[in-house]
Amino acid sequence: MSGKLPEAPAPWPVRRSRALLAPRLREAATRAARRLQGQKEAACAAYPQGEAMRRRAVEAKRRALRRLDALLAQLTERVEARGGHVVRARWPEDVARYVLEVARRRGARRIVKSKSMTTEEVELNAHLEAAGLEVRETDLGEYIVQLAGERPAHILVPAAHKSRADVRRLFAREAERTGETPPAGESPEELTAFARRRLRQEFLEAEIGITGGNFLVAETGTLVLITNEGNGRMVTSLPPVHIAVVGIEKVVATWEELADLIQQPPLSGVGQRLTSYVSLLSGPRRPDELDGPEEFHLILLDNGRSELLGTDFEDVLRCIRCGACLNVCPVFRAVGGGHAYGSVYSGPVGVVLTPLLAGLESAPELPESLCSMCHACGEACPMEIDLPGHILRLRRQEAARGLEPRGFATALALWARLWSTLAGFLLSARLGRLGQGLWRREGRLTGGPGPLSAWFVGRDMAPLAPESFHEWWRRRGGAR
Amino acid sequence: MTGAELLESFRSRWEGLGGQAFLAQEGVEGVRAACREAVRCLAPPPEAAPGSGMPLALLWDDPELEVLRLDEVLEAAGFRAFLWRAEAGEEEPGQAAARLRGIAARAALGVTGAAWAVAETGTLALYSGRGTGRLVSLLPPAHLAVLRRSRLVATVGEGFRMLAGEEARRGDLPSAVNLVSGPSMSADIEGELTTGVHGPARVAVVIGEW
Ligand code: SF4
Repeated sequence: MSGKLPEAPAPWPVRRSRALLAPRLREAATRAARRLQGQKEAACAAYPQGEAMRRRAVEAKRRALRRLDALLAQLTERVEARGGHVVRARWPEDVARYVLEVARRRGARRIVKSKSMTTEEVELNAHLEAAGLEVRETDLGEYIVQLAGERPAHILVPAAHKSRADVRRLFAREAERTGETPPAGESPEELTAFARRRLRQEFLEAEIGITGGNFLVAETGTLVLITNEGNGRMVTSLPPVHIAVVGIEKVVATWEELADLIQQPPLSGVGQRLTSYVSLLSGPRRPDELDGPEEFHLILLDNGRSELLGTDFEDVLRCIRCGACLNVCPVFRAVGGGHAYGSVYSGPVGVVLTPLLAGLESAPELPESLCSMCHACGEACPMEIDLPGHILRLRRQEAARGLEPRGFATALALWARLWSTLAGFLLSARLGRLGQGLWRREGRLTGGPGPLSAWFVGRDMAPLAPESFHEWWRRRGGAR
Repeated sequence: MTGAELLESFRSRWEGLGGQAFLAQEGVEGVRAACREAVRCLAPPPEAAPGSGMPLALLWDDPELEVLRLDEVLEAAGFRAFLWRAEAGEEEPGQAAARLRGIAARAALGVTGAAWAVAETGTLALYSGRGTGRLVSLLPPAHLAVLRRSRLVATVGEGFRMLAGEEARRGDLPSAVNLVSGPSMSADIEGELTTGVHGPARVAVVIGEW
């Protein structure tokens, strides 16, 4: 049995149409992706040492996955030796149950969070809010998305789809609710200043801080958190309780390995050598310290991960959520970012990870429709994860399990047969041109006869041109 | 890398990230002079500070920094300086913690040391401890770190080896090691870079030998 992920907010055909009819989203996603991709290229070109480091980092992850159980045991022992608590969460509900338990014991009501994919994966906010707790996302982008009541559009740039005017409106509404002075204008500086003032208050009042974790170091029981804004530091320094929700695959053995890994997410994702802040946290505050959390809890989330060990898909567990594969993906740009995927994990990694964690039946459209097989993600991935290979593998599984539209396989077989000879290819074009009038809608070809219609489920194409290149070539007397 | 190369590389990375760097003349007086200069550039002069009264500065109570008497430097620059430690009469540890947290939240400037710094990435390493609170470098809008020149290393990996030495000395790792590379940054609104969304917007380092 695999794990569970939040259900898609809308069925695929709805998400697809919405995505394709939103040119502004497409522009925003393209802009963000191009910017990040350009920064990565520049940073890597200026930092040749990074390449050897990256290769060692891949090896470190590979080694860690081979002895994951032993590393998790060592990690647990080290954290507990310092008075921290470690629990294994098999399912999403286990996380919420544990956090609620801590909140009840502490009499806590207010929670601040720094951005974390694992907590989104288990829909922690919804669970906590349902129990009457106030949960505040503190990453600026996540804060904006939370105020809008939406989902993040990009793992690195959650509010990529919001304009400054949108943000100002949201902040003004929030100012009214809290009695705060609204932002003075809509420049990013003024908006940022408002967020600083408002969120600072929430940090100081919060009773529990929740984070994810980018890495865990087994030899010392250390949690590693990277942020640029510093909200990770706030969340782990101000509230009396810190709870980290981290996937089991984040553990590595040693600090030496961590040294190779730590620069990889910012280098590949945004082209920085290191994020502005890296917090290396080893247990709760010591008895002689005057700040830092009194309690530290580490929740190790499985949710389907351990089942990937030893399979063809094991390398997916090396993912460091850098975002590089999203930034190069033409489909990710075309659909205007993460929303079309309907999953907390979007882009190429989401296409692979979502069905692997939650079962192929839950999201067959991801491998099937949200990939053009261009292989750009495979080249971009610093952890050498075989993303295109996995997408193909998942498509094969879909075909084997009959998860495709009816007649799809027949349509493909027919197509393969026709196009395997030149005569067949020319014939198909001629027939197509003759018949296509029947399936033309608004200048697009939207269907075909018999089994061919299966291919058009969820797709359309440009109509065939009145004259093919072959015909044109022959008419001009070109040689065969 | 030679010492001079380390210094140059660190400085150019750190400045590239938006931080300021001040090279001190050798000796205690040199470092104090550089700190005076850094404070002037970092924190608004008292009359420009919001609200009335003297701006506050919070300072690590770190044996390494003690001989520099930075509290005097800060007072001379018009700040009320506080050290990160319990005062006489604050027997309850919670009392001192609450007071210091309040000061950190209001302070215009936080002053810390740094255990080491990485030339290749422009990064400072700050260890938490009894006199070296995490909030000092986090809550105030400006942060000044004073670094011994001999603590410059080339790579993050070398820094981690220094940390292993510290672990052996203390018998444990610090509860928090924070690596800081420039000011608090965000590009979440239309991809435009802004500083200071949560942590300090202005950061400076004084590099000296004392
Ligand atoms: S799959 Fe690779 S490129 Fe994509 S987020 Fe993970 S590590 Fe980065």
